[in-house]
Amino acid sequence: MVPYDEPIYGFSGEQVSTRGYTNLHTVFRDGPQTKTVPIRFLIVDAPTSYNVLLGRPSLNTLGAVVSTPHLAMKFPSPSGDILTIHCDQRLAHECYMASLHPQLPIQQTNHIERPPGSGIALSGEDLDPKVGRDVRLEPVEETTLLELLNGHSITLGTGLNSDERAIITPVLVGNTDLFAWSAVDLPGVDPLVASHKLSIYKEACYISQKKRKFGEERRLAAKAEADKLLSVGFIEEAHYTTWLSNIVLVKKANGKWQMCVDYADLNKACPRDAYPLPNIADLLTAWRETKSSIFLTHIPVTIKSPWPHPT
Amino acid sequence: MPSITFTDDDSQDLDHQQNDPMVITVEIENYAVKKVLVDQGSSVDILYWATY
Repeated sequence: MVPYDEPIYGFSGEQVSTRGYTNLHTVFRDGPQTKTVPIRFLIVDAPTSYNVLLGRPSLNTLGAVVSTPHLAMKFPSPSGDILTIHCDQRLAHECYMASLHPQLPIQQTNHIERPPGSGIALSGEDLDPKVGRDVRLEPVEETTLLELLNGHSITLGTGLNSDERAIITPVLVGNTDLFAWSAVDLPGVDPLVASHKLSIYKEACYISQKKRKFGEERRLAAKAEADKLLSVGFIEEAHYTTWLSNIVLVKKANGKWQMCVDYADLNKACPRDAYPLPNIADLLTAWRETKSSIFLTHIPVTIKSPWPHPT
Repeated sequence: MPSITFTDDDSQDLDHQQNDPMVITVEIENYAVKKVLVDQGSSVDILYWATY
């Protein structure tokens, strides 16, 4: 691809930026007969239900005549025959409806098929359904940076009025040392205060999942994450494993890798808890009456289990 | 160049009350690419980034 950032303009004058262009040989097929033309495609990052848009340059190169009442196009082949390409009406209708309702999520399947025999084998572990999905939910509120002590900073929503800001700022600044700025700062919760017990069926047996292999990028990300957790004492090394739950690496919106563990088999061995938070209704009622709330995440809790190193 | 004509045979499989866009399948560099919109109103040929 050749980078190129000259914008193009839509029919209402809206500007669409381009990423570059590329020259690709494009084959138009009518049964056994084909016509190949080189097409210079402009690469555009825009939400659409189509993969490609053929405009006048390619249609003129092809010598194509398009009839929308017939949903067909005809063009001369190199040997002088007239070739016909019919429209896939079902797909056309689907795309047309999708373009009329752009707020509906567009099906992300790209409808590209590898020709038989030219496929590169992809292992299932390297496929990440989230990669390439650009639309993600993000907080809509704007935030401003608030400087705390020792070079730390925190973001505050601009929706706060000046009174609220005046109350919150000294509390945050005065308690800078209470925040965990890195994993090392997390002191954990004393097991006497709270500890989690894994209830496991008596008849459950050890399950060792087949060890999955990762690509180089994921392997390095997993190693970095494991080293980090090891260095702060969240995890410890087990030398003889009679069970194994594979890790799963998922790309986050910011491009970093999130390491998760595939506990599918462990979950099967645990009775389902119908009331994981028995007082959720009380919590919500109380919360509705408060004027401001603070959300805390990531409190490490020691997990007790009848098995050695189950998590 | 031979003359190009369209007859009723070209539209026999169609649902006739239609205003659907012209969407075809082409092969680009050995990939069968579906959902290709033929748009005579466009002055450029576009390949969408998500597809690229």
